[in-house]
Amino acid sequence: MRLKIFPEKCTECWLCAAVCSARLVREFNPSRSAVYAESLLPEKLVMRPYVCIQCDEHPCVESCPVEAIVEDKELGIYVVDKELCTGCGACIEVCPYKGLRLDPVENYAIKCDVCRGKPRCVEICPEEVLKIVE
Amino acid sequence: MFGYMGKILRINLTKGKITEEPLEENIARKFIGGRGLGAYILFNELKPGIDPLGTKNKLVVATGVVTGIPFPGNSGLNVMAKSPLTGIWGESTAKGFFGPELKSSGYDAIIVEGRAGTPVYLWVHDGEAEIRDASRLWGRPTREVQRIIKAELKDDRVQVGCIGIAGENLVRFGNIMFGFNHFAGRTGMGAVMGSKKLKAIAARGTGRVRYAREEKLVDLLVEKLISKEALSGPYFPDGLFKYGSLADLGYWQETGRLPTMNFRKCLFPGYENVTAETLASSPYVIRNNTCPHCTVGCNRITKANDPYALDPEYATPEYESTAALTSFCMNDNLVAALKAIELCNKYGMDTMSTGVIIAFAMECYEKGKITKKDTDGLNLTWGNHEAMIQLIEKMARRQGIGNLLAEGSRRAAEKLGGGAEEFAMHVKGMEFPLHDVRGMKGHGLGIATSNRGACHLQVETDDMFEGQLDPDIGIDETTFPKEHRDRLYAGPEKVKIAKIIGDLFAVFDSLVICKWTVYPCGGYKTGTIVDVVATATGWDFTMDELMKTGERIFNLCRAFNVREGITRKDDKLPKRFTEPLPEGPYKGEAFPEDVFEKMLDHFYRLRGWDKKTGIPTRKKLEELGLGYVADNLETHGTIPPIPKRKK
Repeated sequence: MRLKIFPEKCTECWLCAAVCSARLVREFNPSRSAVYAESLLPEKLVMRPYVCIQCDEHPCVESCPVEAIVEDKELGIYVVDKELCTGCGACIEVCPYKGLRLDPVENYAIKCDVCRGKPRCVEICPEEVLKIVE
Repeated sequence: MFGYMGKILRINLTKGKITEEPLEENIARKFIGGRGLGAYILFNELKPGIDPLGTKNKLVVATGVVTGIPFPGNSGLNVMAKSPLTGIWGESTAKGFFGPELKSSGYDAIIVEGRAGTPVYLWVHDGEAEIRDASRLWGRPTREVQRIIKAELKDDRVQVGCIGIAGENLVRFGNIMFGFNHFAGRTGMGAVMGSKKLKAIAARGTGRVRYAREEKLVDLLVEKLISKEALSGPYFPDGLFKYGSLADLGYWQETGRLPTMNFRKCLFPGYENVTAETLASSPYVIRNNTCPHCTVGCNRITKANDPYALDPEYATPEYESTAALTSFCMNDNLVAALKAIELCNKYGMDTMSTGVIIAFAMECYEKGKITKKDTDGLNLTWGNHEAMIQLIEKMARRQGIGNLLAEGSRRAAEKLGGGAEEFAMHVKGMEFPLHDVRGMKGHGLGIATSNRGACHLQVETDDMFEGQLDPDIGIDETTFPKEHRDRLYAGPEKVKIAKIIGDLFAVFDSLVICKWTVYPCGGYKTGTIVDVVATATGWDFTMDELMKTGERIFNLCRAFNVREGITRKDDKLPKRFTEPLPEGPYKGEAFPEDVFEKMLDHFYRLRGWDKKTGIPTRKKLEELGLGYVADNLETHGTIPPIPKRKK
């Protein structure tokens, strides 16, 4: 299971980040969510969300010096093992999709795990910018 | 104190002085924020009779207790001052990220006093504030000002509220743009900023509001508010999301009450060209536009080339603006209306007042009260959109006849005389919203008695109430059977709904919450809103307290107006509504004066106001904890002193 992004209709409502951080850390904190929105120029006219799309190449896995990004065979996705992650930022730098972020409070790499089956961002996005594909 | 930052920033532009003062919890609880807080401050600090464009007026920008909590419909702030358009209570809510950013920067509200010597802007950031030079911003359009300020402050995430040339030129309905086309649109708050030479307010904050039970608040929101189901109501997702709020235009036409030709008609022959469906199936819509954290998506971003090149930065249509500039002026060219909206947004001018004033001018032109000589050659005939657009350019700059019209329809009509007053559709000096109240009796009463002049958002009833109930606030099948909620019914039960809604909406404009999401338009239960406030603040907040707070705020704004000379004589609708609807399914329906007066009698009785004058009695004010307001009104001679008892 992976997410696909259809950015043209994004309205920068930020609900994706709100529901994501609510699940991850029981806080509404867009800097602690796996998915986040960013404006492209001209500002506020063109926006899009960024999130891990579980790509086939997964350079993040190879980049991790402590092998903290592991496969979840049940869901067929790669996730960060928080216990192992040291917050070095290598995976964040190498990702070509800007899909990983550093949690500013606990210093680990935030990587989308599709809410383990029922992604909340997909559920809430009013413009169907985020969709599930297998 | 939870839910608030607990601080108010005060700026004196004359002295260049910035100070801070606490927001006390007892005041926060009594007045909530937004409208309530602004009314509390301005009633105390403004003397009656001051010039709204003079140095003694004060501008209050106030967030509310829930500002910053991310659920649909919640991103509002309220801007308030004495209105240059009406001379009475002025307020306008605005959405966008500015409110949350202001709170994050450490302040629940800002009070601006005095006048700067040269153009300035205010920069508020993480507990600090400074007054900065805005001379190179003066004269520039709204979005450009925002970009320049962000570049100057080297931070793309700064939020900016600013005026355009209309506010600078003291157009009496000049407004303020916050972020991307979120406006504090009505009552001329932009002109107040312009009169203070305050071009913009910029805010940036990294602070976080503390809530009493933060994790419970998160759960409550996820469970009850942040879902499409929670929001589903009569307007969403159909209508609002599918077509934007412009969907209303087709509805009013189909139900024979589309404001047309300055309320002389109620069906618009060209309506098919300007409906939301037409817009949706046209190539003009780039995408939907929405407020922070909102799924409703009631706005649109558009682009076109013919017959006018549209700037998508500004061309954002919604119902009121579009109706004001299409059917109301008999213009059936949609792109022309979008162009007119673009210009109003660029120059910072209320689209509603603009459209209604243009219709007033068109009727004056038709009937010879103004001529081609007065209009510098503009052929101001009904539906002439080129003339409409050129007139907007003139109004923003106060050029030629634009100078007269920039005064608002009431003043313009007074200056023209000779019966022109008959063509000015306003209440208390503010232009009428795009609602034909002959077909909505409760709404008519609400608009006539709203505290900021003709406003459709302070007391909405009719149509929506036919299908929607809210037992939480006492509106159910037994207390208000269907016949009493019927749009044409003008009996005492309808008046009672108007009273209840006036109180409820006073709270919504204080929290600050968008009315598309709550009763009666949206799916949110009022009880859930009470829970949100209680969970955020830790207060033992109940439905009763919510309604009482609303009643308090409504009365406080009324007292402000009473002190400025408002009485029963001002609570009235334009005379045109006594003429029957000329066509359509409600042909013949009118709003006779005696029907209105009877509703008003009952309204005053329910509100505890004097029947002859419409002034809140001391008894009512004291009951609401506003004894000091009664004392103040007594000193000003507006309420009689307590008679001395014989010993």
